[in-house]
Parts: sequence; structure tokens; C-alpha cells
Amino acid sequence: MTTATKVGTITVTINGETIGVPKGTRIIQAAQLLGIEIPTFCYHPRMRPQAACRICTVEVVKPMNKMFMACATEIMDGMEVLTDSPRTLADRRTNLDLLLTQHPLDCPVCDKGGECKLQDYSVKYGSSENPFETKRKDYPEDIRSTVLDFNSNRCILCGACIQVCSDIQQLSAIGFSKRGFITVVGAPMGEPLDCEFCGQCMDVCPVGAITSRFSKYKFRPWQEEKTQTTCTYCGCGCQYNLRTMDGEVSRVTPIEGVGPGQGSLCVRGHFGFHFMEDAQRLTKPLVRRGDKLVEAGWDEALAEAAKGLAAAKAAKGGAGIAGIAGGRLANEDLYLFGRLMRNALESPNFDSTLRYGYINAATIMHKALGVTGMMNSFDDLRRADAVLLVGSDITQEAPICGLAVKDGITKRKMPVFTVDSMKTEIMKLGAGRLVITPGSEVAAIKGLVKAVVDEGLIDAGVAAKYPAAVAAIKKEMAGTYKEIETPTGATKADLVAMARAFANADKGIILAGPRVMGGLKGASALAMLIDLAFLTGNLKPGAGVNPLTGENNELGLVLAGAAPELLPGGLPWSDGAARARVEQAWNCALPEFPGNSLTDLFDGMREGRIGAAYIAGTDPVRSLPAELNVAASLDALDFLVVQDLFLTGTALRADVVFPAQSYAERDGTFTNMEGRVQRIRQAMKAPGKARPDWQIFSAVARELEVPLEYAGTDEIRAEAAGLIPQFAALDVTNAGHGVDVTAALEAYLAGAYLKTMDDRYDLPAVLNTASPHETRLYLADSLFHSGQMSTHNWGLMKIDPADELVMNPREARKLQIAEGDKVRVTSLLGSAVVPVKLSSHANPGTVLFPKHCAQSHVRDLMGVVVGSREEGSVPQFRFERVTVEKVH
Amino acid sequence: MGLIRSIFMTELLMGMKLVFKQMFKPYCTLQYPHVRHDIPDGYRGLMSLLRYEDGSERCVGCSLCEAACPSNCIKVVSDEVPGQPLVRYAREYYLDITRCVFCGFCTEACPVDALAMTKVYEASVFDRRDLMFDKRKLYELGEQHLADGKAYLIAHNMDDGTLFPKEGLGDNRYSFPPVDLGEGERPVTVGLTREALEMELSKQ
Repeated sequence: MTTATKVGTITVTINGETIGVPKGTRIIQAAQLLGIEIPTFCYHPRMRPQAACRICTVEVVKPMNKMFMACATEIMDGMEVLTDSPRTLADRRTNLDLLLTQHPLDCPVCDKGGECKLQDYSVKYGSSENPFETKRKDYPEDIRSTVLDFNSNRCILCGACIQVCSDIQQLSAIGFSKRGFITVVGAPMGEPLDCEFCGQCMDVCPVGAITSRFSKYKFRPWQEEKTQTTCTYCGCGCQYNLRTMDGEVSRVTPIEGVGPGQGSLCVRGHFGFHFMEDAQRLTKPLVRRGDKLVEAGWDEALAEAAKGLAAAKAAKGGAGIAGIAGGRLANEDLYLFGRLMRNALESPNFDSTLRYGYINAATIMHKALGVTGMMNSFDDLRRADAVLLVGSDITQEAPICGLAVKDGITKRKMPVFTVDSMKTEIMKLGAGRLVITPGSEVAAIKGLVKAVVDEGLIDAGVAAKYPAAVAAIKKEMAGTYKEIETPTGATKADLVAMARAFANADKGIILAGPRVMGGLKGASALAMLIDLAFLTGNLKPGAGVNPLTGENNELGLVLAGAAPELLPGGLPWSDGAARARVEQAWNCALPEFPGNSLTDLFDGMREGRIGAAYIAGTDPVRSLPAELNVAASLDALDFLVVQDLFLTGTALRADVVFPAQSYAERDGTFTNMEGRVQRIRQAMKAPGKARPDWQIFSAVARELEVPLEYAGTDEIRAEAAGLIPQFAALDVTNAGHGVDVTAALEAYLAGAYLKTMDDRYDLPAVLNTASPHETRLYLADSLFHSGQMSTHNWGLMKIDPADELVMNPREARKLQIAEGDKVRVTSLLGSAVVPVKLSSHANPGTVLFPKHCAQSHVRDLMGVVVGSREEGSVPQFRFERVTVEKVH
Repeated sequence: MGLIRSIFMTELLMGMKLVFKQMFKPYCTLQYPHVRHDIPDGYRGLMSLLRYEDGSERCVGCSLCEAACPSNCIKVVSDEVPGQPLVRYAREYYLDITRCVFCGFCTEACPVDALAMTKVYEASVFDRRDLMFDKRKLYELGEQHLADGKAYLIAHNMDDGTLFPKEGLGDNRYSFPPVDLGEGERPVTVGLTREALEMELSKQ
């Protein structure tokens, strides 16, 4: 590698201070190490230097006396630099004077006023008399895009926005057009900007040339209060400043270099800040009086909830109560909910949205590798030698994790191999791709393992150290390629090429998306990926297998043990010693066998085994298809308590509804997919009488006369850390803790590994073969939405109303369907009418519909197949065969 | 001596002497409220908001008066004019006269000469709540005392007597208060760590 020769210490003297720096350091970086500030407009620590703005000019005295750009000049040994010499200041002043010949002085009405670099530098370095002739531009502001307004008059043409879009986001949605004095920044061909709206161009703009329509004229930077908090949309867990004015959110600003995203945000994090102030937020507890839910006081509602739960417990025992938790609750809430269910209500039936797929990752990763969540951090991803991405549209589902992959692609030409049934964005950037038939991920993974075995790509060290395990896999790979080619549509040559390239990389990272864990053989698919990493010698620091999460705190669900087969700490229920520890800590008795999983619970409700349920932070009526009869199950209950931000479909069926507080109104922690426990902080007041979830659980326990009393979330986390060591340290990833999988792996290879081998490589039957319908419908994740929260954002709804069926343009032409036409989608379970959007994102023969969208009932067309107990009992409903026809 | 003074009422006579002397001098007391002082143009009375000749609001809601105010008595809520994209105005404007120290810094800060102080000094009311001026009240004051407001701006050298027209914001008398941006808010701040730098370089 070149880095070995590059990193060596050389010295540089800046303003008389000498410092040793690695070779390859640029002047601006050395100055930052010394705490000397050099003004810049276009320089950004995460981007290549462009030396476009010329404001960072410094005087180099030795080895030659010349002016240099601090951002782009690499240091030579013994260099002497002056950053504030008279010559430097004169140069900067001239530069500013030249910029101000064009820049309009509309600071009072510019949203950047107060945090504008041009303003600051003009005050610091500028002259009061501008000797140049003023030549102001007079372009009308471009306000055609949904979010971002472009004011070319204010633009100083530093190009930072264009670079962030091409280097970091890799979209190149904006660029320069025209030449000379009239150069403008905007979407190509003068079209209105229509991109992912990550807003990073706005963040890096040093002046007010790019501003947000959602925050237009709403704030002055000095009036705002900043609260550093964790994003609540996806499992990346980005850190940002939630800025409020008079208790209302004015905007979200990234924090450079902090958190998993290192200062990047996606559209949801950046512009999805309206749901907290939505008028439909629940403000008071509701209790059922006859057919209606009426507002009530907290005392009344709590007493009623406790009475109903206690009655169900008396009638049907603890197991007659079901608890369902959502992955949006904070770690402390989940721990307390678990304790309320298992300790206060003595019910083993505590499940969560983990059941939608991630449960497989939780169990298999723990069983095989002893890890909860990802083995690697996002930084490892940026530094990997190869990445294999299976079954995830990562730039939509976990955009910032996607940016980490993209960072490796831009800076290090990292090869990324993609296996997916859709044409994803990362697929276009990657080194190799397998476009497979929807639902055939398992077969494709098996194909890769087979290629590794057949082509002799097994790591020599692994083959020597674990001969029995390698032989067991080899035995399973006896079949022909035909059985893989038929269901997937991928050829042997493709599989072999990809396996060879991945196996040859030193540090190969495997990323597994929801289509791996959420499939019919999710657990086996993930186990196969672990086999693949094992065979290629990639179970080591800096490489490994990483399941991606969907909801923001799914790892918190695992750590809190929010599934019947999990204990706090993410340990399996069958672990007797761990169960005894929990029993001792909680001073209670836990049953030996785990409770029922989600779909069993719904069956139990209809069959009368379950009398009451407590559902917090999730809306199963909306998120599960009609075939599971969730609504009917909930209606069959004697008593239902729901705790949420909004009056959801589930809440409408409740007997008591508690209004909860959103992440912006309370303190707590979330765990991101890397295993980082990060704080959320109160930034604003909750609407009405809403309370944080943990206080509600605590109050219900008090009513049940099992006091679970805490002064705050820190106290809960301190208690939970006794059982869940991951909660003890904040902001440390699994990789940061120094994951060593060797011990767990050896135990796994000697035990469960060989036992489950027989079933693992049996390919599942192709889905819904009985259906006469031909087209495959897939419920895809959207970049702009995640569900209940995102659709209550008027801003995000404006960007993407998202109730459209995505069709391949060529196929649509065959059916004479144009963009915006209405089509009828028919499956065996019924039909729905939806508008069409044309995009090559969908392959021919496949149509996509956003998963979060509940309005047009496409979800109810999906047939459900519940996986076996070994495969996590996951209700698989994201694929269905349908017929699409135009409605006239 | 004391006795003689007392007998001849010397003190009284001395006092009366002053009285008679004053009786023939002109009055300095005014018959307020029937007669009033002439107020100089630079006088800093109650604050008012001014309009352009065509009746439109001058204030662009930039909040600079709020930032300049030493007693924090101004609150500006700015927004985009409904139906007119990119036009900025003060949706709400509050001035708490009970806290105002009549320093006039807000008028100095105003980049569009929307604020001027009038010659109104009679601010007493029976209900203290009436001293919380809102936007409507401030514009009313401005309409009633337009001439005073203009004179004030001229007296304080903020205007050349034309009250510069609506088009072109002309002079640049802007000054923004320093904002504490905090750590990490800017891409380029001091505080790069050695580890971060080495990692960045190792990636290339």
C-alpha cells in the first residue's frame, strides 16, 4: 500500500510554531492541528481540495518565497508558512473586494445572515472602501424546486455544493452552467432541481446562495437554540443539531465530524422535522366510553389501564397479556417496557417489530459470532477492500451507511458487489452486480458460497484451522449450478466472477439488508453469509458480516430483549444462567420456555387465549397486511392499551390511549446499527399533556402496585447496564469495543453450526407459485419515508407524496401506461387502484410500491407466509404476484 | 442678634424679597397639558414603524433591531409574505415599552429605515398590558407621527431627507451581531485531531 510510504513525519513551521506532521498533510490541516484558523470558502475536510475560492492564500517563506493556497498545498519538509503576514492579509482583502463587487448586500433578508462566511471574513479581513467597480448580477431566484432555493446573485462560485454532490453524495445533481460573469449553479439544462434533497449543498454553501424553502425567513442563527440529538428515522443514528426558536423547530443542521454520518444527513433527517408539531399529535389520554374514545385525565386513564390489565391477568394469567414494542422507542423505554411485561405483569408474551425480520439477525449473529448488530463500524466500511451488499437498497434504507460505502468508492475505488432484485443506486456505482429474481436472495447467496468452494477460493488459514466445518459446507455444495441459475436468473460465470473478486480482497465486508433477514429463510440466509465470510477469511477486525436495520432503534429492541426468545442484553432465552441473572436483578421468576411470537399472539387474541394487550410505539394494523387479520385480532381483545404519538389504526381500537412524547421532547438514548448508544435530548416542549414513554410505563407499574420508579432516563440506563453492558458506554460502536468473534465462532462451529447444516442450504420453494398472476410486486423502502412519523411531515409529503406504483418504463409502454395513469393491481387477495410512476429502478417483470404507504391498501394485496420457528417466525409479505392493468 | 432678627422678621423679608423678584420674571412652568414644550427632532420618544409612500410595510423582518436592543424588549417573528415567495416581512412585531430604555439603537440598526422614534412621551396607561405594543399599534403610531419619524431619521443622520425609495436598499448600514456557532458547526474550524488526519490520509 502507498500509505506506508506516505505516512512519515516531516516538520513545518507555521507562524513560528513548529509541528511534526505525516507526509501528505496539507498546510490547512497542519494549521488546524496548531489551532490556527485559515479562512476558506471551498475547502471541506471530507472533500478533495479544489482551491477555487483563493481566500486561504498563505505566504510560504521557505523553501521558496511565494503565495500558496493552504487548502491544496502539501507540506514539504522544513516548510515555513505565515498565515497572517501583511502580504497575506493584502491578498485576502483584494480577494474579498473582488467577491464583493458582485455579491449583493441583501444580508438583512438573507437566511445566511449571521452565519455567513463572507460576512465574517469581510469584517475580519475586508476593506471599508471597495476600489473596484460594482457589477451586481440580477438573476431571479430559482424557487422551482420543492426544498432548495438557488440565488445565483449571492453565489461566489466556490463550487463546494457541486463537489459535495459529486464526491460525497455521488449524484451530481447540480453543476455550473454558462460561463464567465454569468456562471450559475443549478440543475443541468436549466431544469428545476429534482434530486434526493439531502440538503448537503445547502450546508456547505458559505453564503446564502442555497437556502431551504422549509425554513425560509423563519430564523436568525443567533435567535435559535441548538440541541444535539440523534436522528429518529433510520438505524444510522446520525447526530445533528435540532434548532428551535420559541419552542418551534426552525431547522436541522449537521455537526461536522460527529457521529456515524460525520456531518452528512439525508432528506429525512434534514427536512423531516415537522411531525412533532403536527396538529394530529395526541395531547391527552383517551379512554373508551361505549363506542367512542373520549379525553380523560392521566389519573383516570392510568387507573383504567391498570384495572384492565390486572383483570386480564386474573382471568387468563400473565400469559394472557401480550406486549408489542416498536423500534422507535428509546432504549430506556424498551428496558422498562420489558420489565413491566415480564416482571410486573408476569407475561412472557413480549414481542416487537423485530419480528418483521431483524430477529433473525439478532439470533444468528449472537449464536454464530457473539455480536449484537454490526461487526464493523461505518469507518471500517470507508476503509474496506471490498463490500458485498446483499438484498438492500442501502442508499434508500440506510442512506448514511450508503454514504460510507460511497466514500470508499470515491476515495479508494473500493469494489462494491451488489446482489439485489432491483436496480439500486449503489448497483450503478459498484464494481459488480447480480440482478436476480425477486425473492431469490437465498439461492444467490448459496451460489456465491458454492462458487467459493468450487473455485478453491477458501482462505488457506481457515481451511487449515477448521477442516471439519469446511468439509461440512463442501458436502452441502454437491449440487449443480442449475438449481441456482433457475430461481435467480444469475449465471454461473457471474457468480464465480463476483465470488472470486470478493474472496481475493483482504478485508471484505458483507452487508445484509432486510430482503435477506426478512425472507422466508432469513436466518439461514444470514448464516450462509456468515459461512461466506468464514470461508473467505473475513471474520476478523475490519471485515465481517453486518445486518442493516430498518427502524432507528432496532438494536435497542434486541438489547432490551424485546422478543420472546430474547433476554435483556440480546441473550437467548434458553441461556439459563442469563435468565437467572435477570430473575435476580428483577427479583422475579421467569418461565423456562419463551412466549409466543407476533403472529401467534394475533392468533391467540382471536382464539381467546390472550385477553389484553399493551402496544407501544408501533401500529401493526397499518404495517401488516390484511391477511394477518390484525384488526380483527385486536377487536377480539377484552382490553387494549396503546401508547403512541398519533391516533393510529391500532389506537382507534384501544380501550386506553396514552399520548407519548416524540424524540425531540424528551431525554434518552437510541442504539444505532453499529451498536452505538447515543443520546437524544429535549429540545422543545411536548404538546398538551403527553409524557415520555418510560414515565407512562412507570406510572402503569405504580398502579399495578409493582413500583418501577426512576428519577430519569440516566437512572434507568444505569440499572439496565447491569444486565445490558452495551448501555454502559455511550458513543462506542461494536467495532470500537474491539469485537473478537473467535471464541464465539469456535463454539458455534463445534455445536449449532453442524446441527443446522442440513436445513440451511435447502432452497425455499419459490413464492406463491399457485398464483396465476405474472408480475412480481415488491414493497420497497423509500428514501423519503419510513411510515407513521414521516407521513405526518408536511415537508416530506410535499417532496414525495409516495403512493405511486413504480414500473419499468419499457414494460409500461408495452401495456400503454404513461406516467400518472391509474392502474389496477390485482392479486389473489383482491385489487387496488394506484397511480403509476415510471422508473428504471424497477426491473422488467417487477413493480415496486412504497412499503410505508397505507392509504391505497396495496399492502392488503400481499399474501403472508409465516416462517418456521427456526427462521424467526417472520411474517414474509413483501413479495406478491400481481397483474397490472390500466384503468380507463 | 437672634432676638433682634426675630423681632424685625428679617428672615421673612428676605424670603419675600425672592418672591417679589420672581414675580416679575417670565414663567418657566408651562400650562401642561394646554401648553407644551417644543420637542427637538432628535428626541427619542415612543418607537414607531413606518410605511412606504404606497402604504406597504417597510419592515423586512430582519430582526436586527431585536439583536441590537440592549434591554431585550423587541421580538420579531419573520416570515415569507403569503402568496409572495421570497418577500420577507415581520409577521409579528412586539415591543415591550415597559422595558424599553429609549436608547434608539434599534433605529440605528434598521437597514431599511422602518423604525423611527416619535416625539410622543405620554405613555402612561391604566393597564400595563397596553404597554406591550404589537405590530398594528406600532404602525398606527408611525402613521400618526410620520413627520416626526422622518425628522428623527434626518436628525440622526440616518437619512438624507428623501427616506430612500422602495427600490434598492441603497446604503449598507448593516452590522450583524457575532454568533457563537459552537464546535463542529463549520467544516473548517480548529480542532482537527491527529487520528482523524491520519485516517483521512490513509484513505487516499
